[in-house]
Amino acid sequence: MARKLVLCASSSNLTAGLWNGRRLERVHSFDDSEEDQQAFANFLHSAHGAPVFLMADTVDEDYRFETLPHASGKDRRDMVERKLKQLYRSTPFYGFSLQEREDSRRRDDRYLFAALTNPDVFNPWLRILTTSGLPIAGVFPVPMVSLGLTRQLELKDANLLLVSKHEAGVRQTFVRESRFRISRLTPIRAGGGTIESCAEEIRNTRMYLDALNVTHVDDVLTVVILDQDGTLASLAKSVLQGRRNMQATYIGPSDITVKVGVDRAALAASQDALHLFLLGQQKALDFNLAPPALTIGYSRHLLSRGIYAASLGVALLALVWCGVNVYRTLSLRSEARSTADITRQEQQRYQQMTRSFPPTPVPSDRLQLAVDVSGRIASIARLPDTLFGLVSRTLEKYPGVRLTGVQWKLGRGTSDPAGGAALAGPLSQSATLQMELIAQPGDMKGTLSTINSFVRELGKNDKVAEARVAKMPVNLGSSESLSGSTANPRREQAQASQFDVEVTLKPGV
Amino acid sequence: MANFRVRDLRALSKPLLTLGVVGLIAAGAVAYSAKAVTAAKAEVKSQDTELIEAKNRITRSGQERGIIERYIDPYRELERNGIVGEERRIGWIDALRTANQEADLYGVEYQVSPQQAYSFSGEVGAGPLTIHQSLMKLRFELLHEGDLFRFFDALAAQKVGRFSVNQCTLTRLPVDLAVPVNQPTLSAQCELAWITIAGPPEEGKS
Repeated sequence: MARKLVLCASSSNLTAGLWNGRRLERVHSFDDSEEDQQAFANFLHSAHGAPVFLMADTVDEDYRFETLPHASGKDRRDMVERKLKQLYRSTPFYGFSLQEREDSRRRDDRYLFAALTNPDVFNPWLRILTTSGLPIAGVFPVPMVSLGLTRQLELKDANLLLVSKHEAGVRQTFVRESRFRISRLTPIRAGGGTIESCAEEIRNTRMYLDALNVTHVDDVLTVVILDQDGTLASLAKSVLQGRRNMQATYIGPSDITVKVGVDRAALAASQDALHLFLLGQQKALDFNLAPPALTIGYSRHLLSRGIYAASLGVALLALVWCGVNVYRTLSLRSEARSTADITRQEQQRYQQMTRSFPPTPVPSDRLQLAVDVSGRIASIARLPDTLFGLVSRTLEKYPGVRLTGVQWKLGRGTSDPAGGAALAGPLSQSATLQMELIAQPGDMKGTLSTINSFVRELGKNDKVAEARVAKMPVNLGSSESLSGSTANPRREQAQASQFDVEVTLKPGV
Repeated sequence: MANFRVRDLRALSKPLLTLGVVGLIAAGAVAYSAKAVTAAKAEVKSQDTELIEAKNRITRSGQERGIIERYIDPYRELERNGIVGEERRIGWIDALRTANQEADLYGVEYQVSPQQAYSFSGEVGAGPLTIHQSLMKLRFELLHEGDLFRFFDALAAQKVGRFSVNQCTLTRLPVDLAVPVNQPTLSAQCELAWITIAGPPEEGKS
């Protein structure tokens, strides 16, 4: 995380620093006076929306180990929440950490519970923080932040007692097998004798651990003295005086600067600077005592950053995509230009070759097509001679039948002769023949028989697709009226009966 | 809870707006650049096609020369006969007069309609060629039906253009016995289509 505001609050003062990603800057201490609280508010204003990580360094803290039946998921959360509420009714600042599963048959879970038992101490600072609108990431106990040191300083002894001096006093944190066990804050007494009183506190802690059977009297306890300002240089000697089951490691300001990385200016600014640095360094702290209502702003802050990161991702993806597209476009255009050059050369070559061709008004393909099409136009043209010949030959067999008129046509036939939605068919010749038959008016049967015979004869020709009577001399349909006379046939004169015949020749004839 | 969500949304409005704007710009930029790629691909394809065509032309040049040599004379013949190029209406009228005389007809009445697209372009496989037709209606009288074919043969022999007979109606005329022989016995009404194939475009003519 790039920038964050790291704070260490105690009952009497608050130390603030700005973590810029690698270094701790602008370390300031504020006491609980109104003037300093206003100064703190101004300090926050200059933090420009950086998330706040708050360390609680107070004697009003509680750590306890509890063993609970093994559970997981929501069951575990509900069970632990119930237990925490039972233990810490008076404070919203509590948290837990699952330490391990026991080796016993039940394989119960062992939890570390922690709480700030007197939250009123921090309320003035929290009010200022809330008013500032800065997102509060959480409230973390100092000992949990200290655990990071064991890894950085490669402290591998089984029983470690980290001793560090803070604005609030001297803190001793006991770590066994790299796991937190106990932590105590002892306010520094005013006046001299700090070293001796510290040494006495450490010896008391050792006895307390033995009394609780956390350590055995023969176990060697390694006291790690973290001395940010060089005032605890003689503490190791005082602690170890007459003690064979203790050993001491002194880590002075130079070692802290070299091994941890915090610079001397920050160390000189406050005794909380080392832990502020450690708090800034740690990316994920799993022991957050802040209630969800306090950290809701930080959740929004994280979500907001996530959305900004997504925006950046989208922009980068689009940039890469566009870059690839631009590259491909340029490459394709270059290819097109090169092809166009070759085409031009080929066209010039062709032009040179065509100079030796005979002159032509149109390109060769149109030349050939025009000649071919002209031939095809001629080939589909027809005169009515074929149809006239057919009719003439048929008429010779029927002397009583006479042609009075012809309507000949060359055109597209229809695929649906019944009419309606006719579709264009192939080109063919068709004609309507207007004819007359000289017959006795009373001999209707004979007349109709002759006409039908004529049409059949016409239709027998191979070139005829269809021949039919379009109009009879009389209409015998039941829906039409019919009139005439049945006079003596001997007295009757022969009369001409008009009828029409439609003939269609086969396509291609 | 509802207030919490509204407040959350309000707090996240700026990043969400940023994401939206970035997303829109990104989508626009990607779409624009993708369109440029598509256009470039089309350009390459077009250039490739032109190159193939140019190479094919060179390959076909020998064949092309053969086609020109074989078809140039028939094409010039079509031009001379008024089949290719502009239609020659005066020539048609002169040809009608000549055909009337040669077929010994009694005179021909004609009526030519404005030029239009040829009705049977599909049947003759015209392809890219433009073919026009002008319909001519004729009215004349015949001594007998054989005169009809003599007339059309005489008209074709004039070589003033290509025509196709679309329809003909022949009606028998009443015989007047008081009139001497050689009087017309048939009345004919025919429709012809004078067909012309468009020639090369004239330079400077759009």
